[in-house]
Amino acid sequence: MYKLLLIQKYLLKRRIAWVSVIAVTLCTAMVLVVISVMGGWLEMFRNTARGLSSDIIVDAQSLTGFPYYEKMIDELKTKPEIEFATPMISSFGIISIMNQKSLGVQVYGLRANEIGRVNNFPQTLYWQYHRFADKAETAATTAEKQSALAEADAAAAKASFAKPLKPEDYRNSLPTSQKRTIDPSNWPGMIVGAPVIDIRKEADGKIAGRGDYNLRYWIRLTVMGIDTAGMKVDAQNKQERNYWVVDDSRTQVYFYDSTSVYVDFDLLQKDLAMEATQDPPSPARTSQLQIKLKPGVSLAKGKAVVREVVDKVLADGNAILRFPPIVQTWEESQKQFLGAVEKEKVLVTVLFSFISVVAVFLIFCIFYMIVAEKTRDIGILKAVGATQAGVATIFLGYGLAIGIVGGGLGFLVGWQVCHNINWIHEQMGKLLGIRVFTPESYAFDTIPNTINPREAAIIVAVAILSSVLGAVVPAWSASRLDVVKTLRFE
Amino acid sequence: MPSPVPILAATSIVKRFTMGTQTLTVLDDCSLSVTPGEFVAIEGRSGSGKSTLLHLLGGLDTPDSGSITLDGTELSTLSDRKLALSRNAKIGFVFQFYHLLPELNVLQNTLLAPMVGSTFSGYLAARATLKSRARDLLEAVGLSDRLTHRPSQLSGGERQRVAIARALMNRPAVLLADEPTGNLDTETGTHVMSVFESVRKQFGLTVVMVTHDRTLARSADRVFTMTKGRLFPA
Repeated sequence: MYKLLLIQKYLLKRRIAWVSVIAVTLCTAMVLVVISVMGGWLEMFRNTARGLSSDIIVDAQSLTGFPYYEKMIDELKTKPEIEFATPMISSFGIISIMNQKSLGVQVYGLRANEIGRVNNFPQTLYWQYHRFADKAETAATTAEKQSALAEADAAAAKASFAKPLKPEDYRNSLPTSQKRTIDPSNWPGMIVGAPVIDIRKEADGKIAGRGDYNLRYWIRLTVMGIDTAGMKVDAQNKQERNYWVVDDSRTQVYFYDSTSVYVDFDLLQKDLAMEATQDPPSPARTSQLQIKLKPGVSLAKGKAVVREVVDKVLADGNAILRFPPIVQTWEESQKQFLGAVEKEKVLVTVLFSFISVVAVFLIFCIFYMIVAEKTRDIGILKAVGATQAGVATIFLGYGLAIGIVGGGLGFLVGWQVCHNINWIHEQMGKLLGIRVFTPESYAFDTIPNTINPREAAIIVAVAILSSVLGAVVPAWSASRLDVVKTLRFE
Repeated sequence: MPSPVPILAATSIVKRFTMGTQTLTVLDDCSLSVTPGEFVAIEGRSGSGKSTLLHLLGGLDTPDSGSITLDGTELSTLSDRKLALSRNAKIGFVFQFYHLLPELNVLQNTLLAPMVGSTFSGYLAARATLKSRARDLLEAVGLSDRLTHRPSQLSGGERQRVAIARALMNRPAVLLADEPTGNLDTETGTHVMSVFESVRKQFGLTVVMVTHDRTLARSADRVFTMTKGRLFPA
């Protein structure tokens, strides 16, 4: 009983104990925020990568692609494990935005009406999804919110490269000198990564650079077909095509968005000379197949089925490839990318844990000071019959109490900081002009703010354990003090 | 008629302190026997070894040779834990400098000994009785209106009376008082001693008191003088 009473009194009445509590609080909050942000960052990468990848990907790992993909799709559709499959071309190109800005980009050719059946690409589009979904965030009622989300889903289901403006609007968008010679209303549609046309998130968190005028941007895309015989670039294979921007995509991974454009699969296939030819006879090619598995089918099982189909179709077509397409699960396809973030999380956690060791030493030092300050009290306690274990328990319990209070407060502070981290970041941007979490550096333009309850529990437990550890040696020393000397202590 | 069995007995106690290369014999062959209900005073100059003897009698320190028996138990045979428990149950200390815990109020300081000696559940079960006894003792020393005051809010005399109440809380077999008025002015010291005498008689206490004040020692049943580490009947 006296132990509890003294622990309570020492905790409430010794200001030096508050320093320990503050140290534990700050360390707990710091580690919690760092791990949560890093964990959230990794989770965002995983979710984004998951959303943009189908379950299984057949990848040529070559710019020239692989043949017989249509047969593969037909064959895959007969398999009970497969929900859907669609081809996608991934290549490189150079774009010129209205002859005023040129960029090297990753060009994706996809079937807009199919891609939504294997991944979440349509949900990254502004004009065909977020324009409606954003209304849900400001909806006054649940009904309005549901209506906005339904409208967004309906628009995404019909995602396409269709041009939203009238032909004359496109004609009027070009300078008079150009309109005389060409009819721009025939140009096809292109979806661009938002940063490609300078749509960005400002320091205050608002999106800038987006408006109806984006839909009057035209872009010339130059791609190079690669000869399948010699695998060489031939200037004669250069293809240029003008497109109208019909939408912008924000996957929230900056380096995807800032370098990606999306066009119709058939057009890109043609421009890259990957379509079927008669002379010489050559089957059409694609660089990827994106495959969605039926619910409940494991990635491993799905991968095996796809591998079997790919091998069979290539064998049937006598396509002997030294470098056949690889079949990967979405996790395998993103392994290097996610692995780097995972390692970074571990590294940062270890580094911050080292810093937290400082808290243990701080508690150690403070407890030594407290023991020195309380030397006479220890003598009094022993004089009235407290045992060595009893005295040690007081100081260990004191450490435990500091750990529980500090760890608990640290959890609350860390939770509040994580919960409001984007608001804090915005305020730092507004008031101080400081913008730490830039999409150029961290890929995302919002800071992850989800706390993993298991990690939070471990962090608080480690904080409590550290506090007790910091008190062990001073507690032992206190218990060993000579009672007569302590009573004479001035 | 056989002589009563001593409650506290010290036999041929020797205590030395080593300071650097010098060894100082503080107690040299001291023997003392105290029977139940007896009030023994030990007088002597400062540094004569009185407090050291008191610490040894209370089991706060161990002699280099000789034996100390408390209520029939040889203290040197007890483990640290058993010695602490024995101290809690059988000995009450009153120190010159009061030695109250500054964070606790008067009532909590008085309850310290039973709190130390009880388990958590045991204390809770007996809490009402113990608090009632603590209040009675504080009333006996004239502090019933100061229960929630902290030591820093009390005068020296009041602090010493709290220390007396604390020492009596566990109904000790022996009360050891080390210069109980040594830190008080004459008037306050006299008042504290009258309180001390009053409770001693009221509770039939066995007391060993060391003091350098001969007038205080006069009220004792037996008086010893400590000179250069040796104990002589006065």
